[in-house]
Amino acid sequence: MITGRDDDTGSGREDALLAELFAQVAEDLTEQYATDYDAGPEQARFLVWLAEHTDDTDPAHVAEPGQPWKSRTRTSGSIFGKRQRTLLVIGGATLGTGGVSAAPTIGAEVPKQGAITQGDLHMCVRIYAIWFGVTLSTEEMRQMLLDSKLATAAGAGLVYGGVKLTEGLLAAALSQLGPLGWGVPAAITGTVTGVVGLSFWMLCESPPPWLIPSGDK
Amino acid sequence: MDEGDTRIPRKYVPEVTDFCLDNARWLSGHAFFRVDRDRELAADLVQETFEAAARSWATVRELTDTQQRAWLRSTLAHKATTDFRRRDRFRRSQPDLYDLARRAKADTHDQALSAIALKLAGQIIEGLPGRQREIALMRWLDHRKVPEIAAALGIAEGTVHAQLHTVRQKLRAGLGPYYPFGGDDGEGGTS
Repeated sequence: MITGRDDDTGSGREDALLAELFAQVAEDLTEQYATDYDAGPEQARFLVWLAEHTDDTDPAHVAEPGQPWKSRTRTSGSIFGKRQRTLLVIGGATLGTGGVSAAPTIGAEVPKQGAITQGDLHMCVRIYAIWFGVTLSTEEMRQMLLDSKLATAAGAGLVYGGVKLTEGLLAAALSQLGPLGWGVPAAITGTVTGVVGLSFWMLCESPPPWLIPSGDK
Repeated sequence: MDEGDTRIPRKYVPEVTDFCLDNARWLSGHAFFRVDRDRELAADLVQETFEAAARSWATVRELTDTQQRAWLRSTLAHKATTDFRRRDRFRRSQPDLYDLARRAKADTHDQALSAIALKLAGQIIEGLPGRQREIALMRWLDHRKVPEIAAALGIAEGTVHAQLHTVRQKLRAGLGPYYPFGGDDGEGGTS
C-alpha cells in the first residue's frame, strides 16, 4: 500500500525534476502538434462567437498611449501583410460560417442565417480595420454599406439578403436529410461568406470615397 | 454574473481578434496534447479558453506574451480538469486561476534532458491511461498540490499518491538509463 507522505510542497528534488521533464515534454509536443494543426476552424468559431458577443453600445477607440497592446496592433503595415491578414480573416470566417451552418438546428435555420450575417459583417469590420485602422461596429458597417449610395452596392445588399434567406430555407429543408444534408448548407454558406469577404477586400484595395475614413480623405 | 451574458467591449475586439489569431495554433496544439489527441474536445477547450480570455481581457491585455500564454495554458488546464471531472461526475472546486497563471515556472535545471530521453518520456506520458495522465499533468505540469488534485477530481489523496507513484515507476522503467533522477525512493521517499 502506498502511504506516501504529503509531497505537495514541490520541494523534493525528484518532483522538481519531474516538473522540468513534464514542462519540456509539454512544450515539445505542443510545438509538434501545433505545427501540423489547422486551427482555422477554432479561429473561425471563436471569431463568430466574438462577433455575437460584442457590446455595440460601447464606443470604439484605440488603446491609449503607453498601453501594452498598442505596439502590437497591426492596423498598419505592408500591403503584403494586410493581404495576408485579410486572407486569414476571410478564411476563418468562411470556415466558421460553414461550421455553424453544418450544425443542424431543425426549425431554426432562418434565424441562424441572421447570426451568420452578423458574422459576415464582423468579417467586413475586421477587414476594414486591417486596411484603414478604424474599428467600426457591425451596425456602423451595415449602415455604411447601406448608405454608400451606390446602386450596385444596394443591389448587392438586397441580393445578399435574398441569398441568406434562401440559404436559411434551403438549410431547413436539407437538415431533414440528416448528416448528408448538413454538409450542403455548410458549403453554400462558406462560399457566400467567402465571396462577400473577397469582394469587400477588393473594395478596400481600391476604395471608393464612401469607404475611406473621413480623416484619410 | 452569468458568463453567457457578458458582452465584450467593442474597443477590445481588434485586440482580442489578434490575440486569437496569434495564439490559436499554439493553444490548439497544447490542447491536443492535453486531452490525449481528442480533436473535438481540444476544439471545445480552445473555444472556452478564448472566451474566458475575451471576458477577462482588461486583465489579460496587461500581461506580457509569456504571461498571456501561461494564462491560456492554466485556464485551459482548469477547463480540461473541469471537463474531466464533469464527465466522471466528480466534485467541483474553484482553484485560483490568476495565481496559477502568475506562478513562476520551475527553475531550469542544469541537467539538460537528452533528445532521446525527451522523446521517450513523451511516449510514456502520452501512453498513460486517462486519469493517471490527468493526475500526472496536474501535479507536474500545473504544479498543483496533491490535496488540490484529490479535491478537484473527487478522489482520495492516497489514490493520487498511488497514481503518481505508478507514473514514476513507468518513467523509471521506460527511460531506463535515461532516467536522470536516480534513487529508487517511492512516493514515501524524497518526493
